[in-house]
Amino acid sequence: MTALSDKLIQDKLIQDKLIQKVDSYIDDNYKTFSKLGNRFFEVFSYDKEKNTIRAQIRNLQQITCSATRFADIEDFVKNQMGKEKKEEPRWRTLGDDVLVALEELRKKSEQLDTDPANQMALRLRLARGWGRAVVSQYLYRVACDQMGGTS
Amino acid sequence: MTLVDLLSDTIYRQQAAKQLHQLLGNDKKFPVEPSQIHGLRQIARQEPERIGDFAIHQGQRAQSRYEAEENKSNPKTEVLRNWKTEINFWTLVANFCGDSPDRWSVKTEGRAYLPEELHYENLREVPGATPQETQQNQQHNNRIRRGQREWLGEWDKEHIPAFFERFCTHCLYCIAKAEMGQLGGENTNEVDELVQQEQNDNQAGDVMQTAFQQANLVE
Repeated sequence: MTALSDKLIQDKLIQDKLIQKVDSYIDDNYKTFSKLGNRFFEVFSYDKEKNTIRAQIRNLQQITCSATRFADIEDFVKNQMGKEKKEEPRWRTLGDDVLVALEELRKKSEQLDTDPANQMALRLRLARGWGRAVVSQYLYRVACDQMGGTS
Repeated sequence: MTLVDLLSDTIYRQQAAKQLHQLLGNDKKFPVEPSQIHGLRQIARQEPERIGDFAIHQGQRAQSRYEAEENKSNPKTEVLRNWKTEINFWTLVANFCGDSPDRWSVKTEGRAYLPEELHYENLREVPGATPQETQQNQQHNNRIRRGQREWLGEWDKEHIPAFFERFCTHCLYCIAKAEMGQLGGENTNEVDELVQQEQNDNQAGDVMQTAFQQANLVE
């Protein structure tokens, strides 16, 4: 019983340490993620007549928060690129940059742990932090624009 | 988190891209229309057991068009090449649902996770056995074969839709890249990277399987 408790405590400590590393990575790379948020604003902008943001940005945020498989987020981007009209290439302008950014997160998860199940949990957590940073910066730019300022 | 989640997030995603890029090589044009990919995805989601037949049927249609062009007095090389790539595309799709040890498929992936009691090594063939023993051995062997068939059938039901989700999405992405004039050429590095990644995965294969088993993700 004691051995089992010790193991559980040790596992918990390892998990906490990994989570800490993920969170530090998100903090350390916040500027890089924000740059992508800026690109989203430049490419997608927002609906100035209705004063609403693009649904696709909300969808991106939604999928990064709710995905149970990291590849579902990559597939979301690929699908958007696939179904987009040639005349309005938004995702087609930005999609590959997003896929490269996601690939970086995947590599990071592989560096942090060798266990495939842990890697998957880690990259989902990375994706959530990344998504929050990207979308927040986009929303900030929208707000600045609505207030008539720059950022 | 289940095994299908993990494979879908790693192996299936890699295989979908790798096999497709190997087929396309430096082609600038994608061999099939988006509507055909949507159709394939629909079948994979709703009737995965029909994909093999669907792919063979599509392949035969492409084959007859290829032959029709070939029989023209002045067949166009470009048209012939396009039909040929489409035939190869549908062959690839059919192979994903096959069970040949020579090439990767969803089922060959599943074989790596077969429960030990269903392995072929358990088949009994005893020379000089009495007729009664022979009959018992045959029954034992039939049980293993039937068990294996059923287990792989269940595997396919769950894993074929998961694999084709990745594959069809990657096809749509490649179609977008073709429309942007960016298909071909640059894929060579990507394929090299995927092959390298696969080699790393193979080296880590035992570790991965043990991890899956420890996590009770395999029945």
